[in-house]
Amino acid sequence: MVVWPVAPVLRSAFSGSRRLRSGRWQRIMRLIMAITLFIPPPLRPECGGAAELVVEADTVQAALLAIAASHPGLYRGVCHETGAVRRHINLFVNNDHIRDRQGLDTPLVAGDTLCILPAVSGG
Amino acid sequence: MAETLVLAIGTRKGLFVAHGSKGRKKFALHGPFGAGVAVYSALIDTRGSGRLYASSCNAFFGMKVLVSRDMGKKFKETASAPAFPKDDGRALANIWALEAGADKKEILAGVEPASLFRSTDGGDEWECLFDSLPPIHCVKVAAV
Repeated sequence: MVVWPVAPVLRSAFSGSRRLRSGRWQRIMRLIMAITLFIPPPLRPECGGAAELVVEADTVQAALLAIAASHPGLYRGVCHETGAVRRHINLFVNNDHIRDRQGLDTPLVAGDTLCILPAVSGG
Repeated sequence: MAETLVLAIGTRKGLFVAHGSKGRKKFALHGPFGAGVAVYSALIDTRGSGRLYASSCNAFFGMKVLVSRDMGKKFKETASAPAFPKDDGRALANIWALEAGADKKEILAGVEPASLFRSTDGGDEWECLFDSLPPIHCVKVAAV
């Protein structure tokens, strides 16, 4: 299945448009560009108990920076201070681990899901 | 004899706090705080209004400093935990030791990778004092 990157096309088409800058269109564009971030239970207290967050981002890195601004505790749970993803945290874009794609530069398109999946260990 | 005795007990599954009655015959146990996460160091700070600190060290989701302003009945996370500058390239792996500093609200934290951090506002902001020490096992402070 080909997923057409709607948001960049629309953004390009309406570039400079006064209409696009209006609040209503901004809201529509945010919905069009939105990706869904799935939060694992141990990190939900950092975002008010939410299991999902809707984020406007075109790369994994941009999504993480968005949550760093809105939910810094959640960001610290996913990335350490160097900006790298923590050792035991896995990030999946839809069904793909980001290490099998382009790491933090993995592109996101509208409707994608970004899943934070901690490793499970123990004995 | 003080009215209440406070015991802070760091475990692999969080911090427990016991409050002893005047006669020390009974203790009320509270916790775990930071449930499921190892606490390697706790600090009962009797300066001022009294605070209780604990390092909550989660190998998966990172380190936190917990603080209680009612001597262990409720805890919350401080505004930040010790952290290296982004361009340093190192990441905090553990908080092994917490100690009260010489000044009111000054807290010291010995961490891994071996460095000593200081907070002068009760744990909300941290700065790195020494960043090239051997692994830190304890931190003690005295004004002499």
